Amino acid sequence: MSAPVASNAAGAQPGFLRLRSVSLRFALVYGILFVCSALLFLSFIWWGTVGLLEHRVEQAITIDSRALFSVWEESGPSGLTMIIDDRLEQDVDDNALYLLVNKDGKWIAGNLAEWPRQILPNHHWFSLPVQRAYTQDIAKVRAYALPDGYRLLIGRDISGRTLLRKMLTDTLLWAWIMVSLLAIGGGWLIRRLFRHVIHSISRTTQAITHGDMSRRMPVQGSDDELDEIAKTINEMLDRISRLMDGVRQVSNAIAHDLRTPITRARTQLEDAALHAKNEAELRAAIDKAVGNLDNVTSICEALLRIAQIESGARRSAFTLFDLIPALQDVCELYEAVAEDHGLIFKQNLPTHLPFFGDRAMFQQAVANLLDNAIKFSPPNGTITLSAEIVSTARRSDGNRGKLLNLSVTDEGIGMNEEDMARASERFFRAEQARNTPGSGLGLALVQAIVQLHDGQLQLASNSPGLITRIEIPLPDAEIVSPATPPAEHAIINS
Amino acid sequence: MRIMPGPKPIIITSDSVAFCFRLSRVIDSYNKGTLPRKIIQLREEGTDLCRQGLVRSGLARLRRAIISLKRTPP
Repeated sequence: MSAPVASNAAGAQPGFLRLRSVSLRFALVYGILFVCSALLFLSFIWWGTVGLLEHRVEQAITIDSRALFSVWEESGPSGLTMIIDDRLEQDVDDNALYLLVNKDGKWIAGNLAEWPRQILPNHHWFSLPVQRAYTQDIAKVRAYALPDGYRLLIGRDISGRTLLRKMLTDTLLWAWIMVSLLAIGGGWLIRRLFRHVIHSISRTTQAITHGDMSRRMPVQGSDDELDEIAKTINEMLDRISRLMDGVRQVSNAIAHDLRTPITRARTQLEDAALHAKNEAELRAAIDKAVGNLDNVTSICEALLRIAQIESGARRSAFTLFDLIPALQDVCELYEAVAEDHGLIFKQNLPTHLPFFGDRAMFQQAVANLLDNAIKFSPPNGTITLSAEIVSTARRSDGNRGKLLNLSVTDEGIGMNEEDMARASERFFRAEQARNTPGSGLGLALVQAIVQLHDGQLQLASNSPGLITRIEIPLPDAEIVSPATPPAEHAIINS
Repeated sequence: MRIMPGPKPIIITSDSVAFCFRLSRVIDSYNKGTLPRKIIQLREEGTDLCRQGLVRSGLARLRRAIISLKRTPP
């Protein structure tokens, strides 16, 4: 029954923020990634724009200096003075700065009052404060040494560009703050979503831990990844429930089916010990008890075999072989048994049938089906074993697959729909079969073998009788190699 | 790029009324009688603005006048 479920899932600490919370970590990672990406992107824009402006100024000064050098080479100081005057007279942008001084530092030409003391004509770039009529600006300058001790300073007033740079910096900084706020909001939303999912899983698993196996994950119907997880978990829970029911049912069945022969053996031995008059009676009682205990052993062996097959460990023994000779071996054995019971045994088999699987195990499955058919058939009844290859629907690779369709048909007591649905359960015995010898493990073993071969076991009514059909996919390659059969297994009939 | 320390900025001499007048004289030094009307107008506007203390606006007009003059064939 359902126990009360704690509201704080998985031992969660109360409180708004928990540093050890996975959802918080996800939100933080999301937020940090978002903010860092935005920072990187905006820095790139800033660096690209400001760098371009700086480059344009440097390029203009460099080109200007080359032109002035050529004038100096052609006309000397007088020519350079004229060209500087010309440039200042035509400087519509009003940002050009020139200064030409002689070896004594005396002003020759230009629009700067004096040579800045700290600047040496070493072709380095300098940033210099300059005084206009009403404002103090920043200029970018470069100093050059000329022959005869002359020095030339060329620069540009970059106050306009500095202002633009400041505006750009402010704009990008605000954009980054806005992006950071969005990241915080997004992180909070992600945290909520994640917490919702985790808490939903946690609540369900806690309820199951407390014994409520009926609880399932809510499926929203949106067909997204969360729904996929919920469906997978629910399928897993369904399977666990089925397995638990199966274990419970098998435990009960084992207890019941093993108790009967053990009790019978005990009673026989006790009765012989108390009432046997001679050695012959005592021996007869011991033989009966041994027979009952052999029955217990065969049940245990069958159960172990089914468990081994269901674990999938036997798949390593799979080989490619021709199924027909293997089936004929089994038929040979059961033809005689059918004849003893006054039954007609018909075979409808192709010449060859390539098959990939465990030879001995598949023979065991067919033997169990034939054994059941013989046990439940009335005298003069007909049993038919048929095998054929049928084509399946077209697969994704465009080819049609092949399927083995093997059936055992009898004219016996048959089963109703309800019994057919449960026939492959361990220890299940139909009401009409109660008086027939057997443990109810035969079809369970067949089912396990068929499942190991990725096939299906189906039961249908033959009116009268039963059709037991096995469908198993066949390999694409039709080449049948002569497979050596593995070690023969004892055929367990039940 | 090195940033120069020191509190004393270098004065830009071209940002003055005197430079306005110098540009005006440069314009005048061209043949006065043949100056186009547009250039005369720019020179007068530029000089007036400089006198009113709007040096940078005045300089801009005077410089445009000089550029136009240099583009005009003699």
